[in-house]
Amino acid sequence: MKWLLIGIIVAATTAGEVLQAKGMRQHGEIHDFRPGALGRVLSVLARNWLVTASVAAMAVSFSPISDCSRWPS
Amino acid sequence: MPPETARLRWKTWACAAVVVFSNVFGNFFLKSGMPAQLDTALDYITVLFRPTVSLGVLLLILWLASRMALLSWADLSYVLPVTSIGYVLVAIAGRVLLHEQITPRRWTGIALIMAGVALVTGGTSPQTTTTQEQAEAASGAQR
Repeated sequence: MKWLLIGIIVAATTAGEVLQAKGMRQHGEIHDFRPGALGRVLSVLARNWLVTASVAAMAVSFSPISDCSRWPS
Repeated sequence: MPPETARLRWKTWACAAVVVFSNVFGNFFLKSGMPAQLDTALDYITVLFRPTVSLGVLLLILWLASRMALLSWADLSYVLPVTSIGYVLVAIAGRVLLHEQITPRRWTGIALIMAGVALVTGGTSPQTTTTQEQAEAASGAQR
């Protein structure tokens, strides 16, 4: 069970990283960090399927991490 | 150093610091707020409303947002090694704040991570292609 959860974390995290990097590369450099500009960036990114897929992959990797957090060290 | 390179380097370091510290403290609060036993699906939902777990989740949202910003101009092959210094800080936080036992084997792994970070950050640019080239490559690959 432990190694299955670790496998899910690794696979989902890797997919999330690559999709996120590609989505952000497609978007281009963020220059303006004021709240209004960041809100506009978020609305653009929410419509980018690579970024939404990456967030979904990250969410998949997050649930086994929560479970692993309960394991004794 | 040209002003544009200096600006990019400063921006990269500032953003990488936010990425690393939000990750370290997000994981720390998540770990410290998690109970030893979660039996039902409802337990998994209710635990999210514990203050320390909520704080951990908020910090991990900040981590995701800052890392997305960093990836908008820096290479993935630069961002991942540089931000992996967070693994070292997480281990130290686990040792100092949570009193976890870290074996010599784990410390060896941590030392290797630090060596890798030093190798990647030492003199390499965060961006190997211009933002324009990156956007063209990403949109070209999608077609």
